[in-house]
Parts: sequence; structure tokens; C-alpha cells
Amino acid sequence: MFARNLLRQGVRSRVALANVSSRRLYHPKVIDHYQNPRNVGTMDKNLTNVGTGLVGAPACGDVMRLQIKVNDETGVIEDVKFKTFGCGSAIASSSFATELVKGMTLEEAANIKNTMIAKELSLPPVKLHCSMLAEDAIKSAIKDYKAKRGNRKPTM
Amino acid sequence: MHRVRAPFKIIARHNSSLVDYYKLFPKTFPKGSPPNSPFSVDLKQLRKEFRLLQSTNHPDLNRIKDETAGDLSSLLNNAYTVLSSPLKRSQYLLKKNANIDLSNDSVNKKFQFQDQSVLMEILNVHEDLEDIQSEQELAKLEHENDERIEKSIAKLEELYKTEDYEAIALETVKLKFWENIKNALKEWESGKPVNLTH
Repeated sequence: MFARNLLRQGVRSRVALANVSSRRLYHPKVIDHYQNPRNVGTMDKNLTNVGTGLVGAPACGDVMRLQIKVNDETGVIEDVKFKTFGCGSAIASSSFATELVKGMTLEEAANIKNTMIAKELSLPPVKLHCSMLAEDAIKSAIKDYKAKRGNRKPTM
Repeated sequence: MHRVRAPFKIIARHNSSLVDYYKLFPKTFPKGSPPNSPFSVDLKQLRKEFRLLQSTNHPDLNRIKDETAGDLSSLLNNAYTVLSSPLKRSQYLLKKNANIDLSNDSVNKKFQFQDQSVLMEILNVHEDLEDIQSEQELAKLEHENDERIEKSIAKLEELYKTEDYEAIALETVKLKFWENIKNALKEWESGKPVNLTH
């Protein structure tokens, strides 16, 4: 009986340990972005100065939409909005990505690499694809904006 | 009771990811895996055979010490879990028949979902999910999503006959999106933010 109780306690403390480690999976920065996501929302995708990127991740089934509002004269991204249906890391990656690209020129934003996002949020290897999805969303939004502008006038 | 253990001993020593799960259940899959068998599975029959095999191979039931019994029992569990879920089954078949590992990031790029209308639909469902006010609304969304899942599985059934594995991969990715929505609906609680855990 005593032995069984000991055994049970052992099991319980192991369960407790497992809980702690699973809670620690997310870095405080991820949790911050997840709990207070920046720039959540929608822009009118029909506006000519708005570029919309809509991407999905095959492995985890996350979906991310990132929209940029660009100043036609200067090529600067003046406003960014996102909406993500996914895990905490995907939400944090897209939230951080919006902070990152705001105020950048299209050229600067196009050079953003997923590693910058992953490093800032200290994403573990299994969550790297979340930052890749955010990079893809930025690129796809830029592509959409440029396609809309067409040959009217090249951005500076 | 006759023992069914012996033939599996060889299999149990191998890496479980390389094992042909279909061969573990010869009564349910006399012809083996697709394309020789249909993609759909007789779940009742599979469960029956699974339980029979587990009853003769469960480590607790082995009076004679046999260190492979535990491996075999967990192998059977894995196989049953994979084969009884259409999504897991398709992901497994893609890996086994076409060497397409959808969980691999670099392979992923190739199958990056391009269908904007489907992605749009997923985001719309997500937005609906945030606005749900009642259980009836939840039930409606669940019903709509179950229909999507059924349609996707039916399409996979057809695609497995053609052995067009690129199309199968894309449809499997789609099914994964719908399964995620299903899980989000299952975990929906009033006022709680919607997010996915995986």
C-alpha cells in the first residue's frame, strides 16, 4: 500500500514536470504577442494601394493573412494588418512581422528573412515553419500590391 | 487460443515508420494497402481485428517473458490510430507510396497551398467562429465543416485510384485545414480566443 502511494506520487510529480516543460515551450515574447497581438484586423483588399498576402502551411494547417497599405509615391509601407488562424507561434510570428514591416520600403520588407522573426521570438526548431509562413505572407502581400499597380508607374 | 504473435516478431524489430501497417491487419486488408485496396476502411472490421490482435499480444497477458511484446503492442496501437483516421492514413500512404512527407518543411514548400478561395473560406470560418453567440450557431458551423471533411475524403477515395500523388498531397493538405477547424469548433467556448494547438 505504502509502495503504491509512493509510486502514485512519483507518477504525479512526473506529470507536474511535464506540465512545466510544456508551459515553457513558448518564449515570453511569443506569449506577449499572442496575448496582445499587434495590428490585428482587415483592410479593404480592393483598394489599389493595399496588398494582400494569404498563405497556408501544409504541415500544421495554419492560415495567415497579412495586408500592407503602401504610399504610392514613396513606396513606404504605412500600415499593416494581419489575421492568423493557427497556433501561438504562428500568431506571434505574424504579429511581430507586422511591427517589423511597418515604416519599411517595399524593398526592405522584401528582404525580411524568416530567421529574423524566429530569432526575435526564440522559436524552437519545430516551430520554424511558423516564421517561414510569416515571411511568405509578407512576400505575397508585396507581390499582390505590385501586381495591382501593374505597369502604371514603377515604385522608386 | 492460438497465438498470432510469431509472424510479427520480425516487423517489430524494424523502425515503425517503415512498417506496412496494412499487413498487420490481414483480415481487414486481404489485398494490402492502396492502390490494391480502396482508401476507405471498414472501421468496424479494423477495430475487431485490432482488439483480437491486442488481446493475444498485450504485454500484460504474456505469461512467458517476451521483450518484443511491448513493442508489438505499441506498434499495433500506432497502426490502428493511423489507419482509422482518414487524414493520418493519407499522410502515411503519401510517405509510404510516394515518399512525400508532408510534415517536412522543405517538402512543404512544394505543396504550399495555392488555392486562394479555400484559404479565404478558412479565414471566413475562423471569423464566424469568433462571432458565435449560441450553441445553435456552433452546431451549424460543425455541420458545414463535417460536410467539407466528407467531401474531401470522397475526393481522396477517387484520387487514390488514379495514384496521382501530387493531387493526393494537395487534397490531404486541404483535409488537414478542415480537421483543424473541426478541432477548433470542438474546443470552442464562449468568450475564449480561438487558436489551434498542435
